[in-house]
Amino acid sequence: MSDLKNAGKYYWHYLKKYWFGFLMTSILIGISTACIVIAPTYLGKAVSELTTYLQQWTDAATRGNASLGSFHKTLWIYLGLYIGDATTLLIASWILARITAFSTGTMRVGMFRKMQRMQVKYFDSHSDGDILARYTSDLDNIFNAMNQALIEIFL
Amino acid sequence: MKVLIPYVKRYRKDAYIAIISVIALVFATLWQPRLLQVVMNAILKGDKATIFQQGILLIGLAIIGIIAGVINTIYSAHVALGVATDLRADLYSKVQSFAYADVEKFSASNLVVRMTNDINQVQQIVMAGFQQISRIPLLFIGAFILAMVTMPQQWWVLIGMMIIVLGVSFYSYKKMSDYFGQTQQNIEDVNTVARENLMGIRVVKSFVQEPNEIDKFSKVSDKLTKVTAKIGYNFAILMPAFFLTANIAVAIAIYIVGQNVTTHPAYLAAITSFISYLMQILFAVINGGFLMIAASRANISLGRIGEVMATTPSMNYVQGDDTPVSGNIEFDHVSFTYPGDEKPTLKDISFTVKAGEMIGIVGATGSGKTTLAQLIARLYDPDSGVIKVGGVDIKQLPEKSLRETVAYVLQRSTMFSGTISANLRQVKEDATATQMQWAANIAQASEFIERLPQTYDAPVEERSSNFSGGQKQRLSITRGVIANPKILILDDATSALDAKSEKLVQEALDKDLRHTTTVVIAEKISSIIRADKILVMDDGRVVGNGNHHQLVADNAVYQEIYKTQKAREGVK
Repeated sequence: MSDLKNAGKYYWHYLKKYWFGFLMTSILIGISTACIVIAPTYLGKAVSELTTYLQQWTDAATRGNASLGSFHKTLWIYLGLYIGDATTLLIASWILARITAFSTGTMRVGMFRKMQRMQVKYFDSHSDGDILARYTSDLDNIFNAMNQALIEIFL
Repeated sequence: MKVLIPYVKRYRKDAYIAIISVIALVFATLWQPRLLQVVMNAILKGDKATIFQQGILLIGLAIIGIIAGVINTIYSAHVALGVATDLRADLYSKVQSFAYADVEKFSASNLVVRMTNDINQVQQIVMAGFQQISRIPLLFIGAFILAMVTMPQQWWVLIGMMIIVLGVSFYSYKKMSDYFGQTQQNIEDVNTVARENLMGIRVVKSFVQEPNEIDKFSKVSDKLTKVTAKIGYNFAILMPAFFLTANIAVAIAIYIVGQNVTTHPAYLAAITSFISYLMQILFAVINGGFLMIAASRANISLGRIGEVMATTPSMNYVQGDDTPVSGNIEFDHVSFTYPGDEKPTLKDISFTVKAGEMIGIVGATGSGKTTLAQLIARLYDPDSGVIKVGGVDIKQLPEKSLRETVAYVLQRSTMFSGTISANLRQVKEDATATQMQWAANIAQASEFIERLPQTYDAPVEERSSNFSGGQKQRLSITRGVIANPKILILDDATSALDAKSEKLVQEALDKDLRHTTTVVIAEKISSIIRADKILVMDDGRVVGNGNHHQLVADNAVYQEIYKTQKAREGVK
């Protein structure tokens, strides 16, 4: 449990300066989600408008009133909502990609800085391979995990 | 990807199980909605018997799906892990077969990244491959057929959507390939700087080089960051683009249904199912797209691994039985140029040494002493001329014979982390305690080894940092003599020893290794003054060959060195 807490603190340290990015992402994702939630209702509306049109058209008495105008309008709104979704999603993912890449970069340089402050004793008692793997393999894993986690939390 | 096939074949059984289980999984996934439909109808009709019967079937199907999923993951992991382990082992043994020059060509940190990070990329794609490889086409084909059956008229909407999605995937595949290539290169650079920093940490500390090192590291790290960000931006475009395409396709489909609703009213009812199939196709294509992009990264890694595998060691040894040879050394008009250098380091060298003799090599820094020694150990092959050991051209000697005949002790003594005995047993696998003691006695190492609490099982730390420079050299000499070689090369190997210890080592060598030819490279004339023969080197040539007294009498270069050292150190 305390490991989890430490990990939390660690990420917080590196991620807090991106608060504005996270705020923007949250707002954008909010808009995107709203679009996705509303859009299907317009799909339903379009289908029912089409049904009404068909009924009016089939009945000789009302055929003259039958119009596809509102059906077309609904379709445009539907499309507009998905364009809105795509745009906001694009910007949000772009911001997250930036945060992930740059915060991992800061961690990497941060770790190197820390290593420079370590005493020679540390290097003698830790195998070189182990230290090197932290720069390459472990940071790569952090990057992948963060990529996944941020996307799952926000998107 | 060709590199991978033979490795996957070794895990054929696991691979088949993974594929069969994924087929079961797809079957369960596709069948469930149909069964659910039957159950729903039965509920509406109040047909309890059918609800019960189909309900059980539905649960059974769900369980099959879960079990198949678990089995698939386990066996995919088996294959992926097995392939990665074998590939890494082969890569490692390939590197072991490399000549010294080949390793230098790739650089050590480059090879390390290939053995770690690149292998990991391959492992991930093999895993993903076996989880997705048959799921995607099956889901895709299933959904495609069902969509076509539902609304055959709109085939072009489906095809159009697929072309756009595949086009986008393909475009980013190509772009990402470039970026992934750069990423691996940048990881290598990061690794190189970090490795250099580790190796030279004492120098860094003592010369307060930390800020410079951080600068250097930041530069390579920032490059890696930027490329990773670019990859991220490309990924950011993909998802929204795919979804937008699919929803435009949906809107078009509905629009067309609207325009033709009076002639084909039945399509109105089919719209919903058509849309859900459309989405299934989209998911299959998106997954396929992502798999392709992941494959592009793995492909880069495979290429890098393949490059190492395809390199033929620039030096080959003849196969054959271990033939014992004597300790004679003969150089016949040998010239040598380092790869990439313009001027030769050794020029037309000829000399002979009889077995059991001691030969000294002196000369200024850069005169070619170490290069000459490296050629005896066949770390490099000469450009021209022949080197013979025991009368046999060393190119005709099996590697094992050569290594058993020639022991090379370097000035920079590298011990491997582990224990003292483990280091000694690298040279002589079956070394007994008595043999270790014998060798340590010669090298004057036993006095400090035996003071250690664990004596020969004492730990050797990373970079053998728990031993002093002199101790390291003595351990190194111990390792050199433990197998009782026919030829022992000491390349400035006693430089960190005080005069008394050096003398003791030499006396012990004379006494215990009387039949061993000893080649001593030294800066100090005092180290080789007793040699049977001394080669004086100057700018890649042998300019003097004789014993101390002869050379002092008639060799200008030797006289010069001797005079300078005599004045400085008081050589007698």
